[in-house]
Amino acid sequence: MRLIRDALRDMRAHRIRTALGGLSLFLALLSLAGTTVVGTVVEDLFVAREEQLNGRVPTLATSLDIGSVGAVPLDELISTIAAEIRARDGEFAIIQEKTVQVSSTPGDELTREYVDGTVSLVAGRLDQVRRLPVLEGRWLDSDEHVYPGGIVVNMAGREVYGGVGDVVLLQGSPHATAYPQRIVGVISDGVGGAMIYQSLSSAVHFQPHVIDAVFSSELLVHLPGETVREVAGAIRDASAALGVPKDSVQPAVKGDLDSLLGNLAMMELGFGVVSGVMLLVAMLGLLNIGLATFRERARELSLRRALGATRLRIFGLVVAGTTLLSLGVAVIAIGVSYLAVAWLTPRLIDPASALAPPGYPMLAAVISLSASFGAGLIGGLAPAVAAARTSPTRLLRA
Amino acid sequence: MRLKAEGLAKVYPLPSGGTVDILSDASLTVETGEIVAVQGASGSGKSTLLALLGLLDTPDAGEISIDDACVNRLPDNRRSDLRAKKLGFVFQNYSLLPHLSARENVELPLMHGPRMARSQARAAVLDCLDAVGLAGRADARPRQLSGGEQQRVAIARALVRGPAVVLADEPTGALDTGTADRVLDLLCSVATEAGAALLLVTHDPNVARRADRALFLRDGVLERTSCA
Ligand SMILES: Nc1ncnc2c1ncn2[C@@H]1O[C@H](COP(=O)(O)OP(=O)(O)OP(=O)(O)O)[C@@H](O)[C@H]1O
Ligand SMILES: [Mg+2]
Repeated sequence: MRLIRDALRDMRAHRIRTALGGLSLFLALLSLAGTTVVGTVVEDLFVAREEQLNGRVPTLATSLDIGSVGAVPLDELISTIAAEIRARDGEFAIIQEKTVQVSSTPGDELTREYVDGTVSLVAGRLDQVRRLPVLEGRWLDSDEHVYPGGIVVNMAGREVYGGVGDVVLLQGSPHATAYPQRIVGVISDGVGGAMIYQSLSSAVHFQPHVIDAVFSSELLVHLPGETVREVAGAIRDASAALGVPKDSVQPAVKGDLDSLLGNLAMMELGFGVVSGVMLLVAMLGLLNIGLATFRERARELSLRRALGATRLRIFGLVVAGTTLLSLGVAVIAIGVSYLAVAWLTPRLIDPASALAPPGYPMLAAVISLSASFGAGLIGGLAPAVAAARTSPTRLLRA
Repeated sequence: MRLKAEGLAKVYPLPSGGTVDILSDASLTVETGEIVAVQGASGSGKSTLLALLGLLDTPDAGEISIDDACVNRLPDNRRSDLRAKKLGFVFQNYSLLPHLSARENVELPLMHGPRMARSQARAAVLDCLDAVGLAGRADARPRQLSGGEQQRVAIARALVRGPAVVLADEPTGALDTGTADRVLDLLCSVATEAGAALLLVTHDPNVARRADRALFLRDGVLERTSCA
């Protein structure tokens, strides 16, 4: 305790020395923390965006071509896939996109206007496969729950069709009957254009002709914590259960996350090397300042020796000085990078994604603290050894 | 308490090679309450002797004992502890740390050696500053103090731990005559009051006159001089 008090007093007394030593270390740490923060935050953002658009990692997709709906009844198709995938603790979604006519003014038949809209007919749990934050209301009912239906829109869709509780008319094709559907939820899907999500089985229940004669759609499968291989295997098994030959199925990862992350890792490595060099320079700076100010300090140290300080104590005083400095600087650098993250990440996120901004990575704090501690310790070591060697007789011939 | 040195020798290497015997056979004894002066020409080895007696350096031969316990062969950290506990120093050029206040300078010895409770330490510091008449200047920095005042702070610092012996190397060497006299008076009186022995090293006969006993260092040997 006395040592720390003494070291703090000493640092306060030599403000310039402390500030110089601290500054270069501060810059190095900021760069180090910055690299880690940017690395993890951007990675989080990339991953979040990919998971929103293409499915949580790992999700694989394949096209599902089953001659016609007649061949395998839809509910049987869904339950067969569900049985295969859920047995592996996974989730799946079947998606078919259709262009439909949508009217958001269902009341008055005469003034009613239709606009083109895109409906994603989904079975399974798309909200579990993709990251789709619910902004209002809820997600669609389960597949067994066909009545009374209901649709979910994305943020752009809310602008065009209205929010939860509003009713729109959906017309599958120009001459088909239009069916009213109530909006039950608003989600964020990362897509800029207006989207409607509707349960496939419910849509078929209301409008049997809503799906084409040739039922061609996309199957997405996500197995949490499994490898891409495992997911591909699960998809092949599910296809086989539906009577589709295994080797005709080619599941693939959607999107480009791997190469994005690869590039990011390269960049991070580059910045990491730069930060490492800066840290080294900062450490040499501490060392240099420590040794350069040694002459100035020699009188003081020899006086302390005369007044009863042991060599160990002098050594400790110098090391404690740089170590305290480095820890203090690390705390400041972490604070600054924390504020930068808090300020910046909300601005990096596409508003259409409505993703929660990633938090400050603890890793950055841990790395900064330990790097700084190390630099302070090593940078203070040589000056401390020199200081401990100061002879107490120096004072007598000053 | 008795600080005793017997047959001290110290040899320094010469830059040209070879060696020079600064002390060859120096002996003296200082007892509680005594004021002893060591005189000698410049370069005669007075500071060297003080460094040995103050356990700042080790002799090449001879023995130093405190109360009959030999101390010059103790390991460095034990000698540091002894310095903290039993010895006080006053140097020629004040040797206050410029960035510390008078109070903090006086507190320095308490930062080392045996621990002292905070309140006790604060009281000891103030007492000593009071004893040298500087209680009112406790928060002044050395540069705000005159030379005489600085030396008084140094005296307070030497006494703060209640040492058995105060070793002073030309304590008034940097002061004008009037100030020197007053500082010397103060040093002698507070050291005596504190029950510490005082060893004054000086080339100034005026200083030596204040002592109970004066010794003369010549050719590496301490000789008795007539008492003042
Ligand atoms: N570390 C050392 N190495 C070599 N020579 C030294 C060393 N220390 C002191 N000396 C020499 O020893 C001699 C005595 O020095 P010392 O400082 O003891 O003299 P002094 O009597 O205190 O002189 P002054 O009255 O000028 O202070 C001097 O000639 C000095 O040059
Ligand atoms: Mg001298």
